[in-house]
Amino acid sequence: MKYLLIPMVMGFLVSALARENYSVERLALPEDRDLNGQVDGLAFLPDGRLAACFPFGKVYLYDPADATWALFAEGLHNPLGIVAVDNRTLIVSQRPEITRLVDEDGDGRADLYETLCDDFGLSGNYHEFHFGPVRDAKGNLFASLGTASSGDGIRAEVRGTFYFNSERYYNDPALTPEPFSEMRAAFNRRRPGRMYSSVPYRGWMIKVDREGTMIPFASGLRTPNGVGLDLEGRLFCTDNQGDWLGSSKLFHIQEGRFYGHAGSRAWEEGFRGHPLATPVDTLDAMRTRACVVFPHGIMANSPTQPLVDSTAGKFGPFAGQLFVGEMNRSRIMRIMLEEVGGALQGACIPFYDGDGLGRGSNRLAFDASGALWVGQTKHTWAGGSGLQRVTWDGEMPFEVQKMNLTGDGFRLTFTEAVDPVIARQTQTWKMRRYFYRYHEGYGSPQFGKTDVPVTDVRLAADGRVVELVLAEMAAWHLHELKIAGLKNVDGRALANTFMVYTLNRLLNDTPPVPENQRAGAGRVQLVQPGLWGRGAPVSRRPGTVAKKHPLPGVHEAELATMQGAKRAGNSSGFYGAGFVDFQTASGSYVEWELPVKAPGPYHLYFRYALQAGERPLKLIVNGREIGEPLPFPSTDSWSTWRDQVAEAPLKEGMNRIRIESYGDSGGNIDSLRIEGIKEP
Amino acid sequence: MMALADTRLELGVLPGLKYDIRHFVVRPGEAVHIHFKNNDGMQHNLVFGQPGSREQILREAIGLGADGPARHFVPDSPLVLCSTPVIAMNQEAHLAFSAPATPGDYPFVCTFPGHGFLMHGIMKVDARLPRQVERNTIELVEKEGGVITRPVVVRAFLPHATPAAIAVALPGGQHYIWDAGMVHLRAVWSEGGWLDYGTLRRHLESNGKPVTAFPQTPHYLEGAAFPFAVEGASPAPAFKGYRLVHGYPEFRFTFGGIEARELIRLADTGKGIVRSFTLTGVSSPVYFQRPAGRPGQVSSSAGHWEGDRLRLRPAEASAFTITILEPKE
Repeated sequence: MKYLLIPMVMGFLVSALARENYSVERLALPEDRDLNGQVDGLAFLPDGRLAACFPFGKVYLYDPADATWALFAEGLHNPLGIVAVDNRTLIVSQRPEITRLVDEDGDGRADLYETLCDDFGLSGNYHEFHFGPVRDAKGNLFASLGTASSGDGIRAEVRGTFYFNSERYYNDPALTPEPFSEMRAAFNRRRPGRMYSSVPYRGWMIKVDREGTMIPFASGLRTPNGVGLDLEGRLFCTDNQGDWLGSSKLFHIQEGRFYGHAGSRAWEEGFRGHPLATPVDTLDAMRTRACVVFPHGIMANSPTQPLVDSTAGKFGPFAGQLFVGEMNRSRIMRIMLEEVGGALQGACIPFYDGDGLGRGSNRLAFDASGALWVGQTKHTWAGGSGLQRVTWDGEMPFEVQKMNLTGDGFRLTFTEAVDPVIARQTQTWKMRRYFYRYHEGYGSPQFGKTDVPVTDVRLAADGRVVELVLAEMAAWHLHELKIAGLKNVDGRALANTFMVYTLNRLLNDTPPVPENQRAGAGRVQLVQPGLWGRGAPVSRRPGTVAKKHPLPGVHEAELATMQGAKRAGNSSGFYGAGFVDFQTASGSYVEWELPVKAPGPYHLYFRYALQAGERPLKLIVNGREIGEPLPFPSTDSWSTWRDQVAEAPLKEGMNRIRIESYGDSGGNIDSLRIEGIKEP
Repeated sequence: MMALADTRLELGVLPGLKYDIRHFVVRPGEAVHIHFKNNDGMQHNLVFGQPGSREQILREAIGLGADGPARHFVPDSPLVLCSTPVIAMNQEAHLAFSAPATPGDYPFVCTFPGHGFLMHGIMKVDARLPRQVERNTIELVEKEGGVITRPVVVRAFLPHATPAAIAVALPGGQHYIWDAGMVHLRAVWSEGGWLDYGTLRRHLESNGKPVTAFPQTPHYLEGAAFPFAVEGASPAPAFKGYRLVHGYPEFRFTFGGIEARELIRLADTGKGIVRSFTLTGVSSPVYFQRPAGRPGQVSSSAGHWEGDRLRLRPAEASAFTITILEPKE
């Protein structure tokens, strides 16, 4: 094996590494102690300079003519995208607002930091990122607002209406909203679901028109890190695998549509109650499906900005298609879309993989020469850092240029004529299908994995178009194609051989979505709006596996009979599927019915958690109150579980063991364990 | 102080409604050429008047009413010696005149509504004094050796504010938080220095979780409630951004139909701040509520206090300052 030795100069190596017909080089960033190498936004000015924004809130301008950087603006809060309006004016999305930066006096630095839109909420939850903006031909701006993470609470002061102590949330005239200051601590303990929207328009795409009016545009988004327009002005955004997203997605965003993440429903006009109380069937019927799904772990874990190839051929044979970055691996993807049954759907395929490209490709921009500039970042997640430039050598790459659905399979259009012998062999084409489940849980395995035999191959006369005939056509399934050993007529291998087509609709007679593609219809029972301080809305932590108590003789409370108490799971450290949360101060109970073989005295161990205070409960066995009420003192946290021990006689056969509130609510009850008291 | 080589002067504008010249000295009767450059974000003019006439000229300028803009807010008055038109940002005006024959302190002032209470200086006509010009100054040196010598603006999650807050360090050791979410100043401190750079940096570069705290308890805190009120109107404050004026952010916001600007600079003593407000569109009295029980700490250049509530008539509200001083030990 031969190695090509490249002389390395630490720090400012500019080495061109390449895939076929494309090469990538790394560019030096400004020397500034406030920078850490990560690049969070890119845009080209009309005069050819590049505007780049950086995590510390700075914006620099790079002049390719003399390779110099000049500071343009500073003091921004996590700017994550730039629109260049003219050579003196930029528009950035930063956490709290969309801001216009204007260099009024022409000295090269912004003087005016003008707020164009701050009509959305901020709870202070770290995960409430603000992505964008993009600007359409009419001058409208679009930006997307990330939801909050259940791994973090809210701050003592928030901007915007707080949903979870609003009257709309309580949806019950008998309940008076608690003051924010009093409910915040309880809210921070019992956050409503995995990713949530507690302040306006979190989980929404917003539109800001030329007059500065904000229009809530579309909902159902989770962490939509990437907004883009195609050449026809259609709006797209990516969203990241997680709750309600079995895998990461590309959405075609249209006004008024809902894209599947339940949290954002809080800000639908007229919506009342808890967003997670919506039955999954309803959500599934409401949602607009992704036009492209990126299979997790295979294609992309965190897709980023979609950028249309606006180079009219200066970047190769992909004009008008979207490129999409990917955070977790050194990959940029390409999207091939078509309209089927009135909606866009299509395929994703790697475009640039490794070969010198860094990880964390988060922001993309084409310069006037048609080179693709790539800003890389991570912000503690998987990713990378730096600024790179991808250029085309002008020679035709051998690639799948288009992938289209046909009546009985797919049509692939290649950039060059394929080797007809290899192409005609059905074993060249390996197709399988699967789907990701739509549910509140975090991500989804692949379900329904089925190999789909290619039964016939039709090759067009020019050798560039191949039609694959499939044994079976299945709507609402991803179709993953692997091409093995295909060469062009000159014997050159196909540059990218793996692609996934999101087959939602067939050309004709698309059947309804199978019911097994969604899950969690019973979820609604776990969500009952109430006051946060006591018996608050509850949510099981999706994805947690039920953990069995290590000792025998344990009876889970959540499986027992209860009144004035609810099953819950919004804590940690419990065994089984959850625990029981007392709702009222008097007459609420949990009651176990347990068969006992040997009559006699038993120890009863009630496993419970109580953050503060003392919440005594009466013990009633077979209808008779036993001794003094059990004290149930504080365990110091809702996730610290201890046993309250009692002693009671049990009879042979079925016994009813009840703990009941009589003046104060109870703690959270996990289980009852009984143990016979051995006579000495 | 520097000797004046001739009677040609360059006059500019500093943040906070100030000409960059405090006073200058000329000989009686000599020719004076003033090159007035408006390097400020606001509109200004330059009006010279008879000794002691500044306030009367301003009253007469307000008296122009609806005719004011067409007449560049210059009253037709024997008190006015000469004047420039109103000029916008980056415009220039030249003023040439003969100095009065009578010695005295001749004021110059901006008669643009609301500016003249703060924006003025003195031309001393005196044959006995050396020719000289004394300028107002603002330090504009880059940050060196950890000492803040220019205003530093940082947006991050900050204490005692909504998540949409702005922290500013002023050269001279006063620091403040201006809350864009609640649309007003929330805290001023000097003890303990500027916010911890490492925590700020981690907040901005990581996922946003680490949040900085005050290094020491601020000497001034405002609650979440918006402090301004307008008679007969709901304040409904809205943040509109800021303009950097010599590096100092001049915040822009609206409330009750009023467009407001606020520029904060160090108090002359260095032990506090001066908040310069410019309000346009004021037609009813405006009120400002200061925190309770701190009358000695919070004072104003105009209006009168009704307890902790400052009442400003429309003419007073168009430009005024509120000074916040560190409490005395």
